[in-house]
Amino acid sequence: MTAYQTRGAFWGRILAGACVLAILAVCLVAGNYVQATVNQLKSTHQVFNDRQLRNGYVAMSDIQRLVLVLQEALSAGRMTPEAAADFQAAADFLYVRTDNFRRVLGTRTDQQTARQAIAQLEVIGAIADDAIAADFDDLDQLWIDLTEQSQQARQALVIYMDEMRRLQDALLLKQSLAVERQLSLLWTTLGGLTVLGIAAIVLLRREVMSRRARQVAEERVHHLAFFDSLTGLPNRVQFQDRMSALLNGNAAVTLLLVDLDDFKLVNDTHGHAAGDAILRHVSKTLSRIVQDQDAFCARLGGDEFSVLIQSDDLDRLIPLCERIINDVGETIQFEGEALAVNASIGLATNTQIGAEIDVNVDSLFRVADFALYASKSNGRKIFTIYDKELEQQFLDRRAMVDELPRAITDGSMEFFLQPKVLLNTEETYGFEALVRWRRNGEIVPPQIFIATAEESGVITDLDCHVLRQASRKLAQFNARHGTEFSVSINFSALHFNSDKLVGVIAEALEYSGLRPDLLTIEITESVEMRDWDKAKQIIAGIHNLGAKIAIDDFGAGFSSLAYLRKTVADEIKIDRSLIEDIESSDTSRFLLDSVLDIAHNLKFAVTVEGIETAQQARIVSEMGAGNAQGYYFGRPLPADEALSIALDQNVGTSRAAAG
Amino acid sequence: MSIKALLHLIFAFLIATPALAQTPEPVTLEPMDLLDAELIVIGADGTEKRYTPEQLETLTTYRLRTTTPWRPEPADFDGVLLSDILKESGLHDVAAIRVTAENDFGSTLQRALWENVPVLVATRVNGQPHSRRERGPIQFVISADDYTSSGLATEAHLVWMAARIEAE
Repeated sequence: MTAYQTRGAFWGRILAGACVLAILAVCLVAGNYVQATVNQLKSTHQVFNDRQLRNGYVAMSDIQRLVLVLQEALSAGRMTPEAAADFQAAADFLYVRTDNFRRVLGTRTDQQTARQAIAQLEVIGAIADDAIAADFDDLDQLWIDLTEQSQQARQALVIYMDEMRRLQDALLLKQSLAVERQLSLLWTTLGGLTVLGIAAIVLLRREVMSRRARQVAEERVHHLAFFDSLTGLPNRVQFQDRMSALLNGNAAVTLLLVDLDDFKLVNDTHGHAAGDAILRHVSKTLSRIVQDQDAFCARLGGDEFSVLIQSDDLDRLIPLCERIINDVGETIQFEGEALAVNASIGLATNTQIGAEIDVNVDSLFRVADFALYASKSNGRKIFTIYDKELEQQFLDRRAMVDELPRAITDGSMEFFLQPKVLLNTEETYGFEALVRWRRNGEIVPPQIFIATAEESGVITDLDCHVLRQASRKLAQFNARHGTEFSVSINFSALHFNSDKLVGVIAEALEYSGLRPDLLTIEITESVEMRDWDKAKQIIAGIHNLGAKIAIDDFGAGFSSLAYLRKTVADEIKIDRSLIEDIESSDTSRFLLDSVLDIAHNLKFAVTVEGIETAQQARIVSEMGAGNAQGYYFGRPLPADEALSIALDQNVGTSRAAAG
Repeated sequence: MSIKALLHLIFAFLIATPALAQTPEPVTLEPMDLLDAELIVIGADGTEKRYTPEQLETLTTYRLRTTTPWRPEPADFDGVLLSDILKESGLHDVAAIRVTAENDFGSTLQRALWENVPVLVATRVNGQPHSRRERGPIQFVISADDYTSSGLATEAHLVWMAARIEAE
């Protein structure tokens, strides 16, 4: 998770927390407000209820009933038994009503009007009871007393009921206000909750989208971690994981390393888009071929692919390799152009690996790579099966890789010197230092171990070792004998991508005391120079030290003309392949003549290598070459021996620079 | 007393408490002169039936000891069950009845009330005829426990001086 996402998540949580607190606060305020309103209504209800109001008008009805019975009796002129019973019943009703009135009022002291009304009712009740007790002996007086008292009771009841009505009105008003306030509060709360709800939804949506984006990113990362983005094939990591699982299960498995031949040429010629199209074509081809096999494939990187088959049956594997080579080599169309590449394959089976090698992912890759290297060396567009013979070579090479670093430090690496001569006098003016490995008492030629040293990275230490030793030897010899022999040291083009080289040469010159102009660094083209800008920068640094630069094996390397154009060399050494047929071939002579012409025009000093006969020496001399090197003038010899011979021939001094 | 015994006691109390609620118990009443009154019941078929307190007591009589809102001290109420009167008149299945008093007070009783709460139509109180001043002669009485806890009965259902019952 990025810092931005972390900050976003933090503020999102803060906002969500604030929303929750706001909702709680709104609910709390609303609840308190409603509770306060309810309390107010309860308080009003304690003062008024409908039973109190009802007592008032029912009591008036009861009084009226009593008066009516008496009025009918007066009309009849006497109180009949039926009328007396009705009067008694009416008096009973009033009695019960008064009692009920009193009970509802209870002990309250704040309703004076109610107490006055009850008192009036009690008086009427007493008048009625007295009349019943007197057997209605004076109806007229009873009428006067009852009507007068009824009038007062009605007044008291009206006052009481009016107060009740006011209370009822107030209660209704308060209830209406309470409802209105609750409605307002409800709208406010709903509005607030809506806003909070929207905010919550927005936050939730952001969180969901954030999680989804995170999930997509994680899936993307996972895909990138285990799949090749260009081809969609599993990448090296996934391939090795699955391969490791199979090897741990002791299954018989075969690893095919598929490498495209001259793929760089496609990129350089048609562009990277074309190269990508080729890679996709290869991936589709491999996927198609393995889909019905018990196998899977991967892109390891660059133009390297791999296939793992759960079988060690060569009868099945060989046709598979042939099919891969055939189908990968099919032509594809890219932007109207026909493109095709070939593939080389290294095949290794875990069951074919000998006991000297632990079988694991790394070792199976190494041996398959060794088989692939053999395919590349033996003509390409072929497959090579890692077998016992190849394993022996592999073990030899591995032993050599193991021994090389030690050989540099324990003195097993020696340098021989081969003279470089002036063609007109055949005098030796300098030497080329050539490394030899004295391994188990035998001299191992450089073509055996230089490539291994380059592949294993030991070449840097090896070249520096030769530089230091040869410079010191020549410096000491020149000092001792007053000579000015120069020395040329071979440096792989691999060195010309690091600023360290200039420092190493400076240190060697200081260590040896050799005059800088007597040192020539020969760039060998065993590997292709890729970063020309960097190389030119390093060459300038070497020139600043006072040393010289020579281009070795000119005419046989990767891009000799490119070297002439891009480097600022002092000397070119023409490869022996241009000399071999010079005595018999006009074409060879013409070719050499042209190269010499170019070199002279570009102001290069020229040394012709590989002179083995006097006739070759004469021909190249007549063509204008100044310096030469070859068995005709002297084979590479141990340093002391070569220097001694040169001294005896009384050659040396500083004529080399004039070459 | 052990904790176990105490727990048993509490449990027994909880079980017994509902049983302590006062309910009308059947009782045989000695005949006596009751107050003049009349309860008119309009049956489900529209027929009118009139009951004096004495005629009501020809139904199964019960006694209920309870307080009322007007009697802080418990009193023994004797009478018949409303549900029995309604069954006799075919009103027990109606949704509600309307009860009207001599003073024209009216109250509506839902069926759930008489189906779940014993409503005594009292004609005597404390062994005496039920006078009007004591909210007789015919009064609807409900046990104070049921009145406060049933959720079905209210003070308005305690109709006094009851005079008429009809379907709502």
